[in-house]
Amino acid sequence: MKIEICTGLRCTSYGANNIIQRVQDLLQNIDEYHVGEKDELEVKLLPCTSHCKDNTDAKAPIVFINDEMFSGAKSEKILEVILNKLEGENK
Amino acid sequence: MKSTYVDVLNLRRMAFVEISNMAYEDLDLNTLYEETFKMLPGEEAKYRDNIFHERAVLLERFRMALGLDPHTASDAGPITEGVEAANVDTNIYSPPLVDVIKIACNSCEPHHVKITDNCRTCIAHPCQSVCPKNAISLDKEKGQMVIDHDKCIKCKKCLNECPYNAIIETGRPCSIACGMDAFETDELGRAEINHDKCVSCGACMSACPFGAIADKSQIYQLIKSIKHGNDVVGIVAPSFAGQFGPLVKEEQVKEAIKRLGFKDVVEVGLGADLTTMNEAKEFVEEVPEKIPYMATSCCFSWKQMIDLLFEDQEHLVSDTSTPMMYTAEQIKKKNPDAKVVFIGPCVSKKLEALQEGVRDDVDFVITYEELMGMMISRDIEPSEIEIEGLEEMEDASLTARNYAYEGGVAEAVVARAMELNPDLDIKVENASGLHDCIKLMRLAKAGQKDGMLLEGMACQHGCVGGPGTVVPFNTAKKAVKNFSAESPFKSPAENTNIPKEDMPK
Repeated sequence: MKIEICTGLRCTSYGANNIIQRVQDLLQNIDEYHVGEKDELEVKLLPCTSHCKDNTDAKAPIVFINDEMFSGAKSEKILEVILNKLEGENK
Repeated sequence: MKSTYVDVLNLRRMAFVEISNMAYEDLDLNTLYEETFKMLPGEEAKYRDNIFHERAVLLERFRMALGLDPHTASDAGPITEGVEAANVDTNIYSPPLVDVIKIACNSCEPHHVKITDNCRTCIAHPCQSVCPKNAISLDKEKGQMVIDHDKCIKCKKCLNECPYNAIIETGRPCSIACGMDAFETDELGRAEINHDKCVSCGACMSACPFGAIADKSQIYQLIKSIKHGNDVVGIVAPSFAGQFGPLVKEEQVKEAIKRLGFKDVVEVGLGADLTTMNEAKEFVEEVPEKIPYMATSCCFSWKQMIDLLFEDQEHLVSDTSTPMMYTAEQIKKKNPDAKVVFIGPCVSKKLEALQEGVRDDVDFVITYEELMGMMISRDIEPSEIEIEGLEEMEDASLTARNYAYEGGVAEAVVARAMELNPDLDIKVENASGLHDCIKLMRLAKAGQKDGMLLEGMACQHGCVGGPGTVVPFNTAKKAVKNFSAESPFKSPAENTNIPKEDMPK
């Protein structure tokens, strides 16, 4: 699963740091969740993707999970999506 | 700042962006009230109990971002009262710097131990059996054990004993974070800062989960100064590395700051090199012959804490100037007309800059968080700035850049002292966070730290844990270390940016 977190200044200001920390925490403790392995997740930090400026519907912070965009992303939602997807893939 | 406090941070930062925008665009400050409707539109509250309350708190944030005092609910005047005073191009500070936004305070109960509804009123009731003050009894009406708070001494014996984990210790996050015991309660049960005890470290601001404590900003007046064509020079504290996104290079940050209208940007590490050299010289000459131990001088809240609580030890703080001060002096020496802006993680530097001997050289102090608001308001994106062609930052030595984290200052001073005299064996102790700083000073006062260099930093983990930071301290510390490793100067004495005449003799 590909997780890409935008780290432009707006995203950094409005919550990307928390999402990065939560995703890193998940990677470190993934065994505790019994849903999959660390190497199933590919986490990438992106420079500004400009979505929040160019696209009126998009709001920082921006996260992509397997190319699906999450705008105004909250860590709780992102983690839920990741864990659900992992669970689905490994059923 | 706590990165998990996402909504609180968003609300704080929204205000910085808006006030920056109003300054750059010369918008009428009397329209602040209307601005809150744009930023918090609709009829439903997102963060608080109702939308009116939410907008009212945002207005208080606007006032403090302008450098003005917050209002209380009983202030009869319009919320824009006094905004004209903010519309100048110099710092308008009036005390206090850090204050409670009363209408945002949740009136949390002060520190106490309490029995929750997890209590099963068991027959064993070990809570009662271990209580040394006979403060626990059965409340038949409530159907649970209760603590008589007049008797309770908060020893927490009961807390560890309950098999249902029904007993908790709780209190106000602001007050718990405060190392100076400066929190009191007003007549409505809200937090109140005793300003005679406060050293403006800002720990309470970071800790409050309601975002009810803030400090006054100078961004509005700074932007006016830029717009009036002054030679505004930014000096960035050593902890700036990594604050503006994990993929952003320090040179991009410098360029981004210039695009805000700054004429130049210099590392405070330049002055830190002078601090290191002078402090090392001072230590070698004075300890233990003239003074029993020496405390570092760069953290203003640490120094203020010693002034307030350890008055008789105050002369044991190094007389060496701070990195901010030395850096500002260097800038003004080259250009007496320059307006110097300290950009850092720090709240108390806003007060240090007002001290005699400092205020002529430092014109403004802002935080990374506030600077970020300025950049966002101008749509400046550091990660998009072309790196090629940017001048490398080479203002400071490796050890100066490490001032940013706990232990780094003492490390730099000791390394320099060893250069002066390789036979020295200097023992160091450091503390970060005011609670630990006070513990360290108690031991020092008792004579248990004689011969040592004591480094104190009021913020936990050092400046990288400061209230004006944007990224978590461990991420910041890594970025700082990477940036330090890139310095062309291993020792402060190698720093070619320092004029020969300013090198300590």
